[in-house]
Amino acid sequence: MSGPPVPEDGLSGYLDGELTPAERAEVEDRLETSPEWRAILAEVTEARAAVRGLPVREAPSGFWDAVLSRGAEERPVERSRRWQVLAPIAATAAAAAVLVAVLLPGRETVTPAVPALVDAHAAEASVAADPISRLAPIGVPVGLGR
Amino acid sequence: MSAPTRAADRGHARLVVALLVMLLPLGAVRAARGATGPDAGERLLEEARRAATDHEFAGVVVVEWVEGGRWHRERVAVSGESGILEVGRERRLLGRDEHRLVEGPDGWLLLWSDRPSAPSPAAKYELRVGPGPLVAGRATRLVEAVLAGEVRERSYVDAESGLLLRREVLDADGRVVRVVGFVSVSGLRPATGGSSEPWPDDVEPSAPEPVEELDDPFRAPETAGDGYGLVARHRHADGTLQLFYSDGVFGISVFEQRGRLDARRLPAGGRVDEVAGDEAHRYPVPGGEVLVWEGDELVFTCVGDAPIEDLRTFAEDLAREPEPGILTSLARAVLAPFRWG
Repeated sequence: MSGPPVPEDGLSGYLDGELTPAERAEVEDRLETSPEWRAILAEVTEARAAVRGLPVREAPSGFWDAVLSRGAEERPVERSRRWQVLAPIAATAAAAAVLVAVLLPGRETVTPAVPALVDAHAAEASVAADPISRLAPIGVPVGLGR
Repeated sequence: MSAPTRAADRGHARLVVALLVMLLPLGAVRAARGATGPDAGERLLEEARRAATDHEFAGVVVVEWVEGGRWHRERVAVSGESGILEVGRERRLLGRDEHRLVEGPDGWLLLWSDRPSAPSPAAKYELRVGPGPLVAGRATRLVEAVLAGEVRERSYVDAESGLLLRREVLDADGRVVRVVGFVSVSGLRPATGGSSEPWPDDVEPSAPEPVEELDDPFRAPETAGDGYGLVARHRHADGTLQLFYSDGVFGISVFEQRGRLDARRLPAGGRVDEVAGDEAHRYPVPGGEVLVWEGDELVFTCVGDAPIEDLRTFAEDLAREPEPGILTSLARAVLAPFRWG
């Protein structure tokens, strides 16, 4: 079936609830009659869900300032000429960086076992100094979820 | 003189020598307790360290500490017999020599089996020795550890046995913030051997091992805070690095774990604090203070019996970025973009 070109922007606006009532009615009309529109709507919906499922990563502090200041320092003519050479390399590197950033696991999270560490400290301190005053406090069955 | 008589005399001589040898340490101990020289305080504190396992006794200790602006007070049963120190009835701990055991649901767990050597308290503090008050009905000698004119710790040592009967920790304003002291003690005498409860033989070994080399990013400065020196460093089975620092009076343990802090699973009741501009979690506990925070690729837990001001100063010092080597700097620069989040 051939019809008017599929407006992906219109479908995005439809999904985001940004269309006017008239535009929304028009899109729904097309969805009812066009399998192609319905297929594209499903693809857009799936892609948006996948993007939203990605973990949020924050750039290190100072990263964007460094990028912007580096750009402002370069002269327009040099930047234009250099950009023609570097653009494909930069695009590839950026894609690789994004891929690695998404695929690499973040640093492992840890939660110190505070009661056990308090015991370990008291045990060592009680060998180096008077044992009763250092051990008696951990003989108290209160605090830290004990 | 007949042969049997000479033999009897030699036997008496050996007995007298043996008695003298036995009495010499006792005399030295008594001399330390009565001494007022510059080393008297240090000798009394060292004697107190040994007296707990050199004597038999049974008593009740009261632990008092401030938490949430309120004083808390708990009683703990303590006894010593044949070199075995037992602390607590509900949560039993045993100590003999450098070994420390805690009784868990599955048996005895070895907490510690090494002997760190703490620095001399006299290197940082002025130790003042004088007569103390009666504690648990017994005469005491009082040792005050003074820093910049302020008393930071009071130790009340039993005048006869050398056992530490009471310890008070004071903050920088001279207020008592923690007390551990006997309220009753009986049967106090030198240990004679023959324990009614033998040392357990089914102990699960879980004590940390001494460690020599440290991998990046773990750190172990030789000194930190106000006069705390590194005494020992050990590695736990799960990879946690434990450093023990002492200034001769107070001890601070630093536990370093690689990773990011998942603060949601920390024990409830912590207070928000700050270390070097990073958020920290503070837990006042009966034996001291705890600070937990995340630094450069590491999660730090500082536990100490020092007042909180000391612990904060120590933590700030530790949290400072160490000077990395060239290779470390290069590796960090290359990997930095991939460490987001």
